[in-house]
Amino acid sequence: MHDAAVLPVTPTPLDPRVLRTWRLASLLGMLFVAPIVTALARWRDVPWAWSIAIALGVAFAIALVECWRDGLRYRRWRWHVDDIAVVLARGGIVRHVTTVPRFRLQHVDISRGPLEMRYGLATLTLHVAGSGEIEVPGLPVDLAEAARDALVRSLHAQWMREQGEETAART
Amino acid sequence: MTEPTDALDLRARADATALRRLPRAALVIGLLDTIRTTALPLVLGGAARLRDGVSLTDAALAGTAMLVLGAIAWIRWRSMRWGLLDGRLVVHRGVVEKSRREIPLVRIVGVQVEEPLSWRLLGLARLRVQTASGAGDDATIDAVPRADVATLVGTLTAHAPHTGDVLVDAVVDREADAHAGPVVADALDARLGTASAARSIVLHRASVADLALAGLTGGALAGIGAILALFGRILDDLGLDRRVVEWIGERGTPFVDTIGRDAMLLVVTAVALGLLLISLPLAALLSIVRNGDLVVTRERGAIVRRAGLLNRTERRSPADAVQGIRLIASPVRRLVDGAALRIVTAAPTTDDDDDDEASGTLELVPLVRGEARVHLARALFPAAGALLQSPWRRIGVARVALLRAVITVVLAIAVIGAAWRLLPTRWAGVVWLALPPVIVACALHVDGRRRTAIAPDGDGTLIGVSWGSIVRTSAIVDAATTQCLVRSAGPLQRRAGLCSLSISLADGDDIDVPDVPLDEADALERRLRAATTRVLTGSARRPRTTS
Repeated sequence: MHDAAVLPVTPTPLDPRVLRTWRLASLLGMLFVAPIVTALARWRDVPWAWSIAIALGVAFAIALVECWRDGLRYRRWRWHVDDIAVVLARGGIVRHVTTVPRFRLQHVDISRGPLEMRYGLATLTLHVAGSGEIEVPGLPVDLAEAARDALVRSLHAQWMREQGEETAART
Repeated sequence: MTEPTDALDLRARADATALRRLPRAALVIGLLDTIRTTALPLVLGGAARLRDGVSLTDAALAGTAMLVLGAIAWIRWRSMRWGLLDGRLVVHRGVVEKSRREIPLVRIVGVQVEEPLSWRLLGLARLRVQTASGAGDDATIDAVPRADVATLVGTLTAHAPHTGDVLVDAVVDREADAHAGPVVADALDARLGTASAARSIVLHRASVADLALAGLTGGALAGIGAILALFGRILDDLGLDRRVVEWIGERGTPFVDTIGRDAMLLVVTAVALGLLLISLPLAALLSIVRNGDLVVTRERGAIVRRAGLLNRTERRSPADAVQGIRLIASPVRRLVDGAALRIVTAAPTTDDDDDDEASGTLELVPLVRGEARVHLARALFPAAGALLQSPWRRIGVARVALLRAVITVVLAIAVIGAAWRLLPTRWAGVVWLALPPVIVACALHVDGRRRTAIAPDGDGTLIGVSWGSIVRTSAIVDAATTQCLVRSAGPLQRRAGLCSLSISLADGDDIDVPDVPLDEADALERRLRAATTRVLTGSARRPRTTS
């Protein structure tokens, strides 16, 4: 059932390239923050030069905090798949450890945003009933696809085994 | 090469004649619904136009609108057909946008029968069919003659699993005579003397008094009214209200100017007391009407709940899809040693009041008291009874919550103090009114954390957790039905060696166990993993979930 060749069996960090995508996304977010701060400053009759300086300062400060947070988040991220469950450890200030029993998976998705495509990464999304979706970001595309296939294969094997047991019980 | 057949073109399908139309009475209901939904806007529009005089154009527009809506109702009625073909339920709908839904009968896990008052008068019922898709109602069959309902439900649920019948029936056998009275005795007699298909064991029948009491909890508005009245008097003693009245008076509220401060307080108090006096009996009455004649039975492997005086509903959930129970004890319910009992099921149903919301949690009984609670829980979920009777161990630690509460109150005082200094002095004192609710919320937060408790291990298949302060909830779930487990810890929790656990179930309603010591969290996690292992190794049945 277990596909050790593909799935990490010990706690494994994400691909280092994901940190770049997170930080780039944070910096891109600042492109929206700066004009808003400028507009607010202008609304309070702050001169143009000061408004832009304040906006840049605020954007820089937020970007700095975000980059630090992304770094912390990356350092904490670990994931592995054992015989029973998929285990994800993550979180910066508040830390989370999520355990998803393998046979509880409903379906597995792979998604790629523009930044992830740029860096050859993908996000593996695990769907379970009731709890929505659990994401493992920053996986190399081939690893994400192989992990998806391995998880789905093990679900199918489990299902086949149960069908066999049910048929045997009926006969 | 033959032309491909349009799968949704009913006329082109060979099975068209096997599908039946809805009876004409369904058209009457459709038209009545149209009139009901359009009457109010038409009356309001007419009333607004009366001042200028209703013109011929207005009348023509209103008439056309009603004709169009009536035509839509007629088309809807004409376009729906349904039938049972080769072990499938087929429902065909639509003219412009057609749909054909085929559900294999073996996939049906639940059937819900609804009889709104207007339908009952016309001798009709509506059937909602659920599969394990998790989407709520997978098919709806309108306007089924009431005489045919029992047969149709029997056919639709004929393939529903009967797993666990023997075990649960054995438990019911033991408990029935002592706790469920003559109703159960009759049912048992009937069961012993008839074939298995006719089995119907009454598990619970709600009394009118219990329903009324359960309704009182819903009268929360009344409680708020009473508190407001009390609060009004306290404010009066403190003299704070004077500032509010003066502030309102300054802005020229003619009402306050006319009647004066004391009279206004009297009016506020009277309104609050009036709300209390009206809302309590009204809430009780609504509960009786909504859940009147409530009876929970076990029939052919399903838990069946029938309720409602005017709009009668029958919900049927397969017994082996029940993943756990929740007991919710509000203060009013605790006064009579009772609780509301809900089942957590993997066959979500759509709520009567909210057609879009599919939920896996079903309130089975709004109030079940004393020992009856244990016996009902046992009949629904065999191992739960023993767990409810055994003592639960408190694992909640309040010290982090206390620290959190102190920080919150200090921050609130700082924010309110700043607001007090910044606002105009005449009514600045009013902002301090925000502090008591913050303090009360913090106290409840600490109390809730302190009360978190866990049930003993037992055979390891079930997990029992209780939490809450004013409203206390106890959940007992099959450990193997856990969808996912999240353990989280903030900086304060990490310093204190605590964490919070969130156990997700298929019904989407998580069980949160906050601020528990790490060793307790480890033990709980080990139990969940052990249950999962048992399922994976085949030593336990894989519980049904949405899939």
